[in-house]
Amino acid sequence: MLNLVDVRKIYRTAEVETHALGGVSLAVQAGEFVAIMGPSGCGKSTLLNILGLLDSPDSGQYWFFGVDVARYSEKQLTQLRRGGVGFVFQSFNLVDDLNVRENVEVSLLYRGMSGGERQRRVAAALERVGLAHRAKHLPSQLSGGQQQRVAIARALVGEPKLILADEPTGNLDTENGAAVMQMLTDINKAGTTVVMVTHSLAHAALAQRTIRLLDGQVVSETLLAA
Amino acid sequence: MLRNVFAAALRHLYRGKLFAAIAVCGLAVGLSGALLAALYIRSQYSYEHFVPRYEDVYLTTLTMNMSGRSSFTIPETPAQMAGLMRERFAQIGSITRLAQQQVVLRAGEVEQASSIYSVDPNLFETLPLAGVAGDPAAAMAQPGRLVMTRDQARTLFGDDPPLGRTLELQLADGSWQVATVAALLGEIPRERSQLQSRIFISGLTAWTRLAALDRRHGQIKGLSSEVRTLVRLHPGASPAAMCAGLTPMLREFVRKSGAPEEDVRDGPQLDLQRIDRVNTDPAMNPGFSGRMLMAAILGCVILAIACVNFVNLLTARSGSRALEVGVRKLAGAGRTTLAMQFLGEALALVAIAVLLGMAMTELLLPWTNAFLEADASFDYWKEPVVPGVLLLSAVLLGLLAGCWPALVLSALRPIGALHGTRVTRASGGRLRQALVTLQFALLIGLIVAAGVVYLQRQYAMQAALRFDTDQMLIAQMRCTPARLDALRALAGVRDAGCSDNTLIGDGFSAISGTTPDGQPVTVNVSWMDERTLGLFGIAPLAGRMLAAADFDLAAGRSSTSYLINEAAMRRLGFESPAAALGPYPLNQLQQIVGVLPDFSMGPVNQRIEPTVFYADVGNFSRINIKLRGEDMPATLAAIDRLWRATGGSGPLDRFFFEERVEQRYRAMLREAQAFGVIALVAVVLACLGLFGLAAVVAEQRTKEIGIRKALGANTADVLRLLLWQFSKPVVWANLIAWPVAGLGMQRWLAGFAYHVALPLWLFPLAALLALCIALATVIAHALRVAGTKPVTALRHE
Repeated sequence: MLNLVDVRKIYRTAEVETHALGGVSLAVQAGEFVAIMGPSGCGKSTLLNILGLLDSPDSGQYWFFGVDVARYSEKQLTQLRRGGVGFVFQSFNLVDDLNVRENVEVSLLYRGMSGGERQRRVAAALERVGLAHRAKHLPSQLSGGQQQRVAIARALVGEPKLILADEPTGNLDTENGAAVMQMLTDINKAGTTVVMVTHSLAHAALAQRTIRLLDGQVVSETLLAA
Repeated sequence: MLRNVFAAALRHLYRGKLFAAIAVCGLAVGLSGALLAALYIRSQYSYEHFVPRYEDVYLTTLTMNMSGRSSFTIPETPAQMAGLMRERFAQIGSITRLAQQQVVLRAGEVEQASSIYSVDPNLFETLPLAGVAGDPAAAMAQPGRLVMTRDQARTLFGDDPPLGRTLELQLADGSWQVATVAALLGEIPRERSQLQSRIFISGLTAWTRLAALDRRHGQIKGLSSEVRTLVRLHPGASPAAMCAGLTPMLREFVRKSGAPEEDVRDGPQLDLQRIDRVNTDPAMNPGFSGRMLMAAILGCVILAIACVNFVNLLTARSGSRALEVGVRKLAGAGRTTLAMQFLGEALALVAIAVLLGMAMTELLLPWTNAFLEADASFDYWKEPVVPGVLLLSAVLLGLLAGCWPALVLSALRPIGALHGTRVTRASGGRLRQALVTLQFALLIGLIVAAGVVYLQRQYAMQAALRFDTDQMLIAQMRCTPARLDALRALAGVRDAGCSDNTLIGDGFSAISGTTPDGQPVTVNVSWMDERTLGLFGIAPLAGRMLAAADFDLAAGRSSTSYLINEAAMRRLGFESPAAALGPYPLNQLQQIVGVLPDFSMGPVNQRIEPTVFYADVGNFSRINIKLRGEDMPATLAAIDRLWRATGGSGPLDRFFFEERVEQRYRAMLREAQAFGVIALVAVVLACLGLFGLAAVVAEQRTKEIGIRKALGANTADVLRLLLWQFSKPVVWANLIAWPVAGLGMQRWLAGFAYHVALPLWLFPLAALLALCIALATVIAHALRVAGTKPVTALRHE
């Protein structure tokens, strides 16, 4: 389903070249739950951005559901992303000016869906994360755990085949972190592929496979018994 | 989808309601200012538009080119011109004359001094003004009938029906006559018409000025300005063809009338000017185009400041929406969709500002009209052009203001936006910096302009009139020895002297003569007795004033000794004042006894002409009275009593010279005040903008400030840093403002014959003022941020 072949990414400034990814090859199968670990600056987020079609590699191939998108333009990536990928971030990234329902609805806005259908789906997604009663609250009125659940609702409301989570529990306490992990596991069990960056060994242990990165290279893969 | 987009936009505005209010109100103020300027200019270009089919009506103007003095154009011609023109030009549909005369009107208890027009019976053929009662055209065909506007009738007859009422009129010779009100006209807008009187009497009436002029036919030599001659051409007829034939006709007339050959040689000219363009004609309304240009520039400047403000505030805040852009892009929103969203928001804000601006304009228009003595109207429901132009400019402005945030925000890469990268600070910051610089350049320019206008006005009112205006009362009364003696004997009067009305610049007289060596020369002439110049505090540079023995008022003997001013001294070829003294025959004048400094009691934009001064006792139409300044009401009452006791009738026409000077400089005074008001509005706008900007910048730099403080910077260091950031654009602004304002004001000053030198000290002063304003505006934010504890600042997201 996702296939990276010798992907490289270099960030250049006037004086410094940073090799964020130095020839990464990996494959993610449909329905898999993959955790990516590694110290700060090892290229985890860059890898996730490329997987999520937010960024393009400098060289190498990226087969996204059978299409090599490595040379796709921003516009083509946008097209592909529309409904294909859901994102969950460490810092939630909810729009302050929109309430819970509107934040979740954003995922469906640019897909030519009727208003009624959108409302129905948003309601279902909020039900699923247990926040239906908070639909009209603004993000600032919610706790961190609640905000991350809204973000998860936003990621899954579009029914994507792939959900990318960038340290989804990094800003949460243990209890809320566990709840979020439970949700991601449930989503995965329902058939959605999940790729998650995490620092937590315990949370990584919930995935089927853990990929360790160091200085932009894959150093090990651990397959856990499902 | 729209709902979602609206919700985000509205809540964003609501959270930044102060910014939104500042941006929108500022823009509304700017729009309103520009709109008022535009409406004022339009009203000035719509004179006489109330006359049906005004496009075919022309005023005949007379231009005199006298050797040795500047040419001038007047809106009046000799009375006989109309008859000659009708015979000669087939293009004329109708031609009519209006002769103005001063009268005292009496209707029952009401008495008022006024001017009326005696007119040809066909007046309403040429000017088809609608009657609201009676038949104006029929009225003008009968002697003793008059027509007036409804407003005028109300001031005379109150609410009584005026038709058929008789009106008593006292003429200049003191006799009383009667006339009947036969018809009423609608309003003639006072500020949009060259017609000065609202009463028209049939010229068939024997005692009117028009009838008197016609009786005098053939007895007058040379040219005099007597009547307004209005021509209605056949539709489509060309005035140019007619103009070519007018001047030869006039010169033939002057020659035939037996006028001296120099009157012909001097080249008088007749022209036609369409009536709606008379007041815009530079020959008859000098300085008009300059004033219009000034109004246009002020309108544009204030709108520009407001626009800059609007764009600045909008873009400064739009950075905080990067996250929203990122999230929408993740969801698959394309760049176009997002750009449209931000453009739409800007357009909506501009639309609100336009509505607010229109409301403000409606509220302010009556005041503006009163202040500028104009009659501008804002009838957008009657004229679809006005809202059309407004709509178009709103859309343009909205696109302009919206395109920066639209372009920059919609181009954000989602990763950057989601990881908290603010909008690329460099590009946006530089744009904003440039806009703030522009704004302050405009502000500094305005301050300089306002200062120069103020200084020139002061100069005109004091230095240019190099004489004593204090306690000078001018009375329009024939000067007789009896009156003079009685006036001088009054307790509140210090002294009194006689003159004609040219002395203080009310019109002028000129004489043509031949110098002793045979050269033709034309000079202005002013008549006064031996005391008058002294009353105004004027002393000769050489020689003496006239003496009482030089003429005899009682016996009617004029002086043959005369005084000249410096300009005349140069014109007559003398090197120094002392050299000019001595015998110098000029017409009946024999001897130059004194040389006066150049002085002008007229407007400063008129050059001081070569002038001779002597006592022509037949022309003493005014008495200049120097008062003691004590018990003014009693003194004025005593003067009025004296006027009646010595044969005067009706109210005495008198005024304080100081008031006349004020009045003469009122246009300049208004200009100065308008500059002041607009500069103030601009200052407020600029401050609002800067205030908003400072808040944004302070917020954006909070983290940086936290780091600096953590590393040991104290509050003063941080304050200096922030204040310097806001001082830079002001400093740069001077580079733009100084040369532009300097050149502009130099040109403005060049329009005055006598003016102050461009005050260079004003420039650094304006810069300093702008800097102080800028710093005062931002200091509150700077202090707040600079005082934040580093730990709070660092935690700030």
